[in-house]
Amino acid sequence: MRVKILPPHGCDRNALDARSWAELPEGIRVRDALRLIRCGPLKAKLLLMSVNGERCTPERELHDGDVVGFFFPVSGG
Amino acid sequence: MSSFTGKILRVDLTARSAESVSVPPEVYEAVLAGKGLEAWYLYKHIPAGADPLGPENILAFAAGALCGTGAFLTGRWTVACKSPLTGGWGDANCGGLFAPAIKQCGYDAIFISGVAEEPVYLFCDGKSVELRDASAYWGLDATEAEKALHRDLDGVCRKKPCVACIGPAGEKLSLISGICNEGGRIAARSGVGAVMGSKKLKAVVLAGARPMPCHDPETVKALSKELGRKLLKMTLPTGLGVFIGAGGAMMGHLPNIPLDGSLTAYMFREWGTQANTSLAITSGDGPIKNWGGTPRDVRLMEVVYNPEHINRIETAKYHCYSCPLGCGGKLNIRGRKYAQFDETHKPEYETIEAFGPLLMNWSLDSIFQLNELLNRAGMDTISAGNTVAWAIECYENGILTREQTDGLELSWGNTGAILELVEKMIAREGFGDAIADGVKRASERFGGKEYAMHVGGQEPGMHDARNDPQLGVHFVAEPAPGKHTVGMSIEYGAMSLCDICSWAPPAVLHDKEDELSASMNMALISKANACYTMLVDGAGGCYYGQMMGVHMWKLVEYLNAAEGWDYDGDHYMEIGERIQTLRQLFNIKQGYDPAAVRLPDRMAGIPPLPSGPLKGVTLRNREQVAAHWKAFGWDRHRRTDGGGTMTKKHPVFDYLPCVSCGICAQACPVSALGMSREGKSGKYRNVFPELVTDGCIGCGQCARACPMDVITMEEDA
Repeated sequence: MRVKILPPHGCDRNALDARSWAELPEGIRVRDALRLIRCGPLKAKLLLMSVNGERCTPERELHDGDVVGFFFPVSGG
Repeated sequence: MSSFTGKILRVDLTARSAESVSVPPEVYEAVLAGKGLEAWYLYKHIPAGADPLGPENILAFAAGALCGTGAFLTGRWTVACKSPLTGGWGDANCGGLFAPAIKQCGYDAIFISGVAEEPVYLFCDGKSVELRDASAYWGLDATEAEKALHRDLDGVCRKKPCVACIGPAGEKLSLISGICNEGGRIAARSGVGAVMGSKKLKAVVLAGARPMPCHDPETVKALSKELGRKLLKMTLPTGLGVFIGAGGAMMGHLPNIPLDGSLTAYMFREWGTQANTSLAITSGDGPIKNWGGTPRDVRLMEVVYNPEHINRIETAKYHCYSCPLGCGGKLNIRGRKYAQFDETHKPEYETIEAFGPLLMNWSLDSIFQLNELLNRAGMDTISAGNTVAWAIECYENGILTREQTDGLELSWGNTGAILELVEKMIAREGFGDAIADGVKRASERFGGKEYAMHVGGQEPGMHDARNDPQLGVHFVAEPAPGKHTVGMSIEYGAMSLCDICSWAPPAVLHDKEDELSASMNMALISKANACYTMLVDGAGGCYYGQMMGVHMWKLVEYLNAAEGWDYDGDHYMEIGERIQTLRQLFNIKQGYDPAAVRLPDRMAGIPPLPSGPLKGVTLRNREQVAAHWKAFGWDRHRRTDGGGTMTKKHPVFDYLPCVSCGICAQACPVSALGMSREGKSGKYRNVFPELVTDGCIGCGQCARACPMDVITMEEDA
């Protein structure tokens, strides 16, 4: 299955293609995706994470087409 | 059935007449509605060289394509005209309830030309259109005028009317005035309020109750339900805002990375746009001390402007039409220092930044008062803040004297003087009158041009291009220059446009060197950002929906369901490109030279700042803008010598099968094609299509409409 992962600063993007998608086996969870991008346990504890715009825990199971994101503020006005 | 009413209302104030005009479906296919429809109409109907404050200028109010369909975050109304501030294209947009009110009167847009002899307001209830005497409302501030109109029309209309009106700033033709609705919410930019004031049009009052059409409301509803369900769960722990300043300090030293844009929704729900203030002060995003300062100059100011302080006095949140986010709020300011009012809208980020760090002003209470004053007056807080910043810097450097400023001690952070000056600007009294038309005019009169921060005549939004060079490209290349809502790197990284558009580059981690480069990759990013923003504006969408990204706010799916189309992202991005091109063509028709627009040296980092997150940054803005135009396919050398030169494709005719049916000419959204070429069809003399103006935008509508395959589109040589 394909999952889009938007990694936070300091993580490894090598497992992702140019558009941030990764080919992953069925049944993996957000914590596995974090491991894939080499996001350490301390950083993972500090991040707010979401799948398809819904906040979740690292135990959330992933499905084909999911987008995994991490909280980071965006400018605007 | 699609979501369009298929009609526009045309009003001539001089002749005191109004007519309903049908719009061909091809126009909607080419440019949607909203800003696209306005660009189509204004490009055709405002003559070259028209006086922006004269009868030939046309003031347009439009709702977007998705307004009223059930699609979320599509309640923006756009007002457009020839801008008196820049002399080129002008537009501004606003939320509230006015967008659906336009459609409920049975129109997609209202176009108003001419000048009334005495103050009037336009009333429309979907059955009749009237110009009514507005002398009783002229002179009232925008909030009072709206209340008075509601009071006087109470019981007269079946439906509570929606009011868009000007305040004293628009009446007094301040070139930095806007148009208000919903008690002081303002479509502020481009001097649209002055255009309305010049027409002696106090208000547009809409009270229609017609149903708003949609092709497939069930699918639209399902898309909204999915989004709404997610947004309902989006809450942040209370008190988290105190860490925003520290987060900004960290951000200022990190490169931009792709983000999950949907998570911005958490911030807007929790704090509104003012969440950004603390972040901007420390990250380098927000300008300080008239764009010449650094976070060191305002150390710990992020604590004063922390959003949690403002949330504490928030009495209620409010939402625009069709918005599940609700970034707006009402504040109780009774009894606070400087307060002359009991309540105000939660100030937007732009307002806080423009009257806080930009002026080195440490008083949050003064900003509540300024916010309410300017909203009621209908004056743009971005332009007003930049103008006051210029005045202070001129005063500090001896260019302005105390005699010239009517005795005001205009030093950095002098809250009392800032308040008094703004009151004078609104009332157009003394020195306030002299600078009430924005920083460009003020600096032309008094000097100090090196301190006048404007782009093409318009004061820039409160985001620093040295922090985000893409923003500098849009400040300059945007047909309404100086606007901050067209594109940014950080926003591009959040939208995942590459997942709907084949040519949009993937959002990847960019370091500062990448961002400063004039590469074609960066140019395609700025182009994609501009095209998508125009598409959103044509749909009537909200910038914050756009920021959530294409996986969350599904614009393509919404449009296909609402219109009964089956187009892909590439097709829709082409519509966005067309709207942007039309706006640029408008500028060229009006003699506005895009090549002459420059970022002020200070904003471009010349010389660079000595410290802080923007230390040492100098933009390569002119090269980046040239690359941006190249990405659009606009000829850099010919772009100023006529409307047609910006087209990438042109129609080529094979007249043999032509039956002279005229379908192609009717399909042309800009009347560039006419049935005027004389020739023979067999033994009969006949007329055939040809380009009759140089305004072809290369949209290909003629080729698509022709049933006989007479026309093909070829790339320009």
